[in-house]
This record gives sequence, C-alpha cells and structure tokens, in this order.
Amino acid sequence: MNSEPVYSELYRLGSLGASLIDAIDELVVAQKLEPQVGAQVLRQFDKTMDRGFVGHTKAKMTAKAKLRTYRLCDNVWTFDLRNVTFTMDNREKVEAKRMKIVAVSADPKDTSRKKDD
Amino acid sequence: MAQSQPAPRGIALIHPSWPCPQVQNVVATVNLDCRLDLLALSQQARNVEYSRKKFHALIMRIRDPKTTTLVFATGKMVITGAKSAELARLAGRKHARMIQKCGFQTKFMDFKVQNFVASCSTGFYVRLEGIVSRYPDFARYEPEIFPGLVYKIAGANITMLVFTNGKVVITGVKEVDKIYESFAKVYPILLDEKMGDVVRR
Repeated sequence: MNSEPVYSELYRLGSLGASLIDAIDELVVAQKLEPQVGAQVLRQFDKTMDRGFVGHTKAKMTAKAKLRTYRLCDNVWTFDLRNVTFTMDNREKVEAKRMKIVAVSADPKDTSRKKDD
Repeated sequence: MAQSQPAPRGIALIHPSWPCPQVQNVVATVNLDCRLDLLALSQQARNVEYSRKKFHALIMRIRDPKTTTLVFATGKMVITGAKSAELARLAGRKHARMIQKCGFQTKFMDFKVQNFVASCSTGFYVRLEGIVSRYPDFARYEPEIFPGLVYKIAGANITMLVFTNGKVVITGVKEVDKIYESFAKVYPILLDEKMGDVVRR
C-alpha cells in the first residue's frame, strides 16, 4: 500500500512544469534516464510546488473581473471570468477578455492527502 | 366592530398609518424524490460548491431569483434567500430544472415554506426596559448578552426582536398572515414605550 501522500499534479500544466516534462521526456527517449526516475522527479516537483506557495511567496496581486461561473468540487476551485484586470505589486496591469482559473487550496490543512477513487 | 363581518386577517390588521413589515428572507424545502449523485452534479452544474468533508450537501446558487440552495443526496433541497414565497417556489423550480438537465429524474414534491423573516422600522426610539417590566412573560431583555429585546408571542413559535432604535425583526413564522398579526399585536406595546422620533440627518 502506498502510504506516501499524493500531491496535486496541477503545476505540471504551467510553463515550468511543461518545460520539466519536455526535458525529462527528451532524456528518457535518449535512454539517458529511466522512466521510473523521471516519474519520481515529477512527483518531487509536485511536492515542491505544493510546499513552495505556503510561506515562501510574498508577492501579492489583485484581480477584478466579472465572475460568470464558479465551482468547488473535491477541493478544486474552477472560476470562469470575463474582462479580467490583474494588478501586480509593481502597479503593472495585465488584462484578459476571458479567463479560467483552476485552483487548489494552499493550506496544508485543507488539502486531502488521499487519492480519490 | 360589526359581528356579521369576518375578522380582518393578515395585512388588514395593520392600520394604514402604521409601518408595515417587509419580508426579507424565505426558507423553504422541497423533495425532488430522486436519489442524487452529488459528485456528478458538482462537476456538471455551474455555480456549485461541494466539499464532502465539510458538509454532506451541495451548495447551489442562482442569480434570479438570487437564492442559495442546499441539495442533499436524498433528493431533498432547502431553498434560502428568496424575498417571497412565490419567488422561493420559482427559485426551487429553477434549481430543480438545473439538476434535471444534469440527467436526474426530478419531481417537485411537498414544497413548503419553513420560515419567513420580516423586518420593519417604527421610526421612533423604544424604551425596552418598559416593555420588559410590563410583559415579563413574553419579553426578555439582557443588554449584556444581546442589545435587542426578544419578544415571544404566546402560543406560537414566533420570535420578534425589538431594538432601541425602533427596528423590529419578526421570525419563526410559517405563514405570511402571521407576520402582520404578530406585528399588529406588538406595535401598540411599542407605541406605549415610545421615547422620541428617529431623526435622519
């Protein structure tokens, strides 16, 4: 039985995660890296990304948008936003017409450590 | 009063010069008579929240009428936030249709309003201690615990909150008429303890 907690693979979808997957795939195809080791690296990536947001980040950002729909299912929040304006720490503004946010709670108490059936 | 006429009911009990309580919230229940898969529902429907660990019901919201519904796996629903019984029923039907569109064979059985909350502003300050000294059986006033006086109508499970600024909250009512009947009973008591008009600057 696997007693190791499983972390959300959410962050593999970002540019950082995607680049890591590309690099690992290259090495596995070139047979310089075993697939199991590659999988272990990704699991470590999941764990580090999950831990990284709790207590290590200080940058703040505010967002203003029209919320079309929201959903909370199994601790995963999905927001569908329109006419979004993000305001960064350095007053920089980023705008988007349509946006979908998929978020998981960063609080270690909130996250269920069990893998869902 | 003429004996041949039926006794006035509900809103007719309120004298035209008196302030009239407005319904602020209606809580109703309905049975969809169909076992629901809340996990599937939370993935298909929009504007839903479902955290199994926190609460064994799905929370669904719609914009018009602006209401929040608790949906249970047994198919029972609690509708809150509507401003009238008719709107609560309409909201219930809209929520039920959303659930039906997710593939469940829903019915709309035993719709019942469980609670009305109404509020009203008398426009004058009220001496709460006076009410308590006159009606100790019905009124409870403990300013250290809660700033409002709690007035329980004899016999019925109706509670009224009266505040020094003359604002009144009526709750625990299952029929609309009872709101006005309760207010009609209590308003004369409040008038007796009137301290002065509330002036809006």
